[in-house]
Amino acid sequence: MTARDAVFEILAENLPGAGVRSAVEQLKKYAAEEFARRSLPCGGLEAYGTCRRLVLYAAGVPAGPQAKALAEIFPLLLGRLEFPRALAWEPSGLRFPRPVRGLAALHGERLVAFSAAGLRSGRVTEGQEALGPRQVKLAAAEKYFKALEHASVLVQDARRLEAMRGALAAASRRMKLEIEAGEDALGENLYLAEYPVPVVSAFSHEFLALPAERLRACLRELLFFPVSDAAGRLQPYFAAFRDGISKGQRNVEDGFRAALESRLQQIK
Amino acid sequence: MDFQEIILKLDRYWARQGCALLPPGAARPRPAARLCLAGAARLAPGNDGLAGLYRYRVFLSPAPAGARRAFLESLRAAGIDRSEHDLRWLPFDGPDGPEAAAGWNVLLDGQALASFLYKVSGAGSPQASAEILVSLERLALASQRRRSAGELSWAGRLTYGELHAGEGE
Repeated sequence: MTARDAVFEILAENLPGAGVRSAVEQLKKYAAEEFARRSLPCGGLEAYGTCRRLVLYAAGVPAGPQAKALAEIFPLLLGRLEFPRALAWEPSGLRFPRPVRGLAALHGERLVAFSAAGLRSGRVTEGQEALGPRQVKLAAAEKYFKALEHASVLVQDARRLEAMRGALAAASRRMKLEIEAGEDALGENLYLAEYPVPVVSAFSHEFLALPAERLRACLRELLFFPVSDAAGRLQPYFAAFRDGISKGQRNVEDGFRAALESRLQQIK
Repeated sequence: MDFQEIILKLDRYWARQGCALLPPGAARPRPAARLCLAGAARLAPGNDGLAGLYRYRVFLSPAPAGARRAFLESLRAAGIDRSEHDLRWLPFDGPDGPEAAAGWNVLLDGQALASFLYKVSGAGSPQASAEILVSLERLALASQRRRSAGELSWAGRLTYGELHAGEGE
């Protein structure tokens, strides 16, 4: 019997980033346990997370009666996830950091039907929020990532990270300056945007008189990236990410600058 | 969009969502079974982390599944095109209180625009209410593309600065 991929997406209201990273690891670990417990073979299990969704992707799950186990496994996984801080939002008693708003579950083209968190699973999800409310209908599990990418959502953490690195490298070349984007700082930005778009802005020269480490700490606090020259001297610029598309960049550049300068004014 | 036009647009938007509009300064009535209240008010500044003197406040009980979406739509009603701005949702658990709470500080282009807080009550059958607090000055600054509150148009040629001259704001 042919094997098809299976996908399970939990769509929620914006989740605290720290919880997402750990939930992604849990999702993958618990899925491996539950698949093994039911002797359900699969070609590979992977989990992903953004600020609004947690996703389990199981490659090559055999079709037929065995696949019925998916409808038991998916809600079970949802119930097993633990977060640093979670509340019960509806009568099912499921504890989650913020309300769950959608469950999408497919095996190949087939809906994996179950109820959890007061919701029924379906084949519809949402795209990038900055583009307005847009529903995305999923034709098949195998088309999940492409469908979401078309709707300006990069679901896979590694793809998002790669896009962020590429965008900063390009901005850095354009400016002929170094953008200080360490792994930690990139990691903090990873669960901020579903479609990270780079923003480069400037701040007033007067703040360069501040001790460099204080300036760096202040930028980092706002999840902005410092910019320095070849000798490592800070320059009056910074890079950041916004969520969505590159329309109205000027609004965002000016807003980020005002936010930074008002913070720097406080520590001056 | 004028400052007062923003208030009118928000009033009309939330009224269409089924909210009762409360005049400024009205005390919030005792919690009823179902309640949807909205209105603009001038508050004592400096206690909620938002800029400016004026807040638009919405209270939804129970909070519908689309409460967050309704908030986003209200920004559009006030002249903000979401696709041209960045919104950041910083997790915020609210001040300590008897009810469990969770929500966000919402930043518009990096600057505090609003707080959106869910409060959950009822152990066996939990129910969430939502309280939304928006800085009207921040909303108007973005809507009118101005840099300081004083330059904001309040009504036609009358500016915010003229209306608040002598207040030190």
